[in-house]
Amino acid sequence: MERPGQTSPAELACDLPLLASLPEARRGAGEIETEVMTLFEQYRAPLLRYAAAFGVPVPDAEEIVQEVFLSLYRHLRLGRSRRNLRGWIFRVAHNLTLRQRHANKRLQELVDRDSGIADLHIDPSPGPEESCADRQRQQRLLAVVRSLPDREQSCLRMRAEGLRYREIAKALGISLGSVSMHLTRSLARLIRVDGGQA
Amino acid sequence: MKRDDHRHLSDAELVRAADGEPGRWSRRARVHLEACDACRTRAARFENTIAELARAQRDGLDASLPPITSSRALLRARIAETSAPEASFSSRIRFSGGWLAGALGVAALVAVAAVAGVLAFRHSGARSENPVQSTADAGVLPNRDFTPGVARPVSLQEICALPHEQVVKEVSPAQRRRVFEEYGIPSERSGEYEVDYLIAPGLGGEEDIRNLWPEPYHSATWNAHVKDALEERLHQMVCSDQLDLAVAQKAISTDWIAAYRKYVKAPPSAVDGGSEL
Repeated sequence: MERPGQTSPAELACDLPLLASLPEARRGAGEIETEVMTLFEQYRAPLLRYAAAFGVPVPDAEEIVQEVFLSLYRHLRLGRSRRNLRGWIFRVAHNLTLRQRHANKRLQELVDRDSGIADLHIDPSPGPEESCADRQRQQRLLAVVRSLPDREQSCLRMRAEGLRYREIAKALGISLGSVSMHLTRSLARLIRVDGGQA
Repeated sequence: MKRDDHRHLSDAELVRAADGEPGRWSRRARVHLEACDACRTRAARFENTIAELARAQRDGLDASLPPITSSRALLRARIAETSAPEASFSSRIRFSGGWLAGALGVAALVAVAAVAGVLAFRHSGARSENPVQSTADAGVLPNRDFTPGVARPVSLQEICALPHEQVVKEVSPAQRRRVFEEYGIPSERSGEYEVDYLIAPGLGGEEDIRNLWPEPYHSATWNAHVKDALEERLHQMVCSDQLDLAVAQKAISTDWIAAYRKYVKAPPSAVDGGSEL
């Protein structure tokens, strides 16, 4: 039975290797900065994609990512928990993304208008190497994801970025059962709309 | 295989199996998947859908992401800024020896502050003779008499055509010498300074001696890296119609540290670990 303050094997699995390998003793500012910069290199692109997927323009998404890692730096400097840090990072990014989206009415209108087909961030001209059918399928998938409720979108997009159930649950502040339910429902819908091709 | 192992897996079980979460149910899922073609096909379909979505997300955006270089520099500068003021004045006063020791500590600090004030006042009187100050952060702001900042007539299109970090203009050796002479810096100390544009070329700054000043390397907080981050931020804001170019030029030429505080430093919002907004 897990006791308070004890890290379960599953949570350890969610810990990031770099941080898990370091002693729990207090770390210096320089050491923490190095950790944060390493995580920044690793998670900048996934977080930018996550924020952009909710209609936040890239410059604003960059600002969100900056704030996420500044918050992480402050979090670690204060000696707060390092458990499930990837979930923590995505949680802050998720909150800031929703706040940004809410604040930007113009973007909200664009997102609402975009409930159909096109993805704002996809270049409409097909690339030379990509087959048209492949591209259409991707667009169809993204369009379906966009039409899902926010919670299901978040679960799916985080899963697609490689997060595990526990990390998604922490990021969204919901139970493992809810993550499972949202993922199962949204994946089933994707497969149905995709005509079972996936 | 037990009797229960023959029952086909539900969608939820298949999705959880893909996650690899350990548990009693996962043993059953593993055993069943090994024996059941139909469930393996369904499981593969779920996994392929996730993989396809991941690919779609990357294909759709990664090519248009800005390079990480400037973003990395900006984060470093912000972390440096966050680290600098480690504690407030009041939190530094420790009253561990009781109220008397605390009072004595405050008195000592007041005395030190008074002496520092006198010295600063005397130093300011000598500024016209030696424009470069001698304290740790001296020179982080240019002397406005020498360096008010000069911009060339430039269009937004011209400014925004290139990323900020690619708009680099080397200062000629002759200009560098003139700047050092103007600020009264002897040649043997010139290595301690970078001759920098007050208004960056990426914001329309001109290579004019009135736009150049010796920026010290020694400042731990307000150094050239921090100013680079400000320039990058202003460039980004100007090119995304968030800030007027003239306003950006005025802000950086008037007091670039104040501009940094205004446009770069993130407000101390309590976002870490908070609930969904």
